[in-house]
Amino acid sequence: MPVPEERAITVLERKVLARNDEVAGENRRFFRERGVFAVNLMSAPGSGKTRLLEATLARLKEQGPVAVIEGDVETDNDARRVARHAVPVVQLVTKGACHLEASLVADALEHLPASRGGIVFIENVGNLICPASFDLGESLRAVCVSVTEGDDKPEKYPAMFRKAAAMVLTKYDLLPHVDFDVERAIAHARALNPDLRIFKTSAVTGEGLEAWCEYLVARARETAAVSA
Amino acid sequence: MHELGVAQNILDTVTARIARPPRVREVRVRLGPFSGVDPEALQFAFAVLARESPCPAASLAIEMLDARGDCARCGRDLALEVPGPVCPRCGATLTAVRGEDEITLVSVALGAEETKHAGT
Repeated sequence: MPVPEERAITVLERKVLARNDEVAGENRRFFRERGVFAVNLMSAPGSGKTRLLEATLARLKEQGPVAVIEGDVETDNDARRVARHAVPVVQLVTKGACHLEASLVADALEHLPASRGGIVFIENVGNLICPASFDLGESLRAVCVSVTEGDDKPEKYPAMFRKAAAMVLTKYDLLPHVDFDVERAIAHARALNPDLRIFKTSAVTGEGLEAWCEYLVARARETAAVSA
Repeated sequence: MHELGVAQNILDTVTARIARPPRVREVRVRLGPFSGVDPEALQFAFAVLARESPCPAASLAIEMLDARGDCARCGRDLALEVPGPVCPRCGATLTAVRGEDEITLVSVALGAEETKHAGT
């Protein structure tokens, strides 16, 4: 019987996602120093994030600097759509990774014009699971849920809804044609996250966009004021 | 989630912090119940990646942690069965939640000397 080997234990106590957190911290400092309000926009694929973003850009771009970082597994389709609104945009193509990480956002920031104040939208890869675990250094996490999805999305993907500050319901114009129980979705989301702000929007009719944009502008102004 | 990515992250961290990686025998990791990481998948991914890494003799030990919360009414360190800041006893919002999505590299156990590893 072999003699049991003597072992020396080295204690590390280090968070495994520590490296992403470090870079996220650097991104957060970058935004703070410039008074930039950064929004991490997340949702399942097909919830209308890009459409919502386009409608938001149309309203916000006259009010101050706006820029977009797009994240997709493949194609620059979303960056092309955003570019039609004449705002600076960088497309990140992950080639298989199902979420954006802080280091990718840091790379993208180097390609955006340096400006003070304003808003940077980061449209994450369509996915309600993985992006929740990766801090990008954002000021606001907003999760979109379209009324054409199940109203039990918050129950099925609790981590995403717990870590968000805002839930934006999208495609609200389609509500008469679907079974989506709005109150149930809101109740379950708020059970996970009592402070969650809720917005009901339709990019097609414009419903709810004013409230959403006012909220963004107010948060952006606060952010710019703190850094001035 | 990304057990392969997490396993690679663990091996990279260990390799960077240990002077003689072939001496690594056991890597201890602590997982919260709602981290999104499946322990079995992590074991599998670690075993596959360790073989070709600077730590081919390393095995993974996983400690599962309970998520715990504090409630102003019901007390401290209550065990949480589901994610969310809701007290399991009275339904009030918890004042603090701990450990729920933890993924921590706790410690590394080193053997006395480098061993010849079968297959390398």
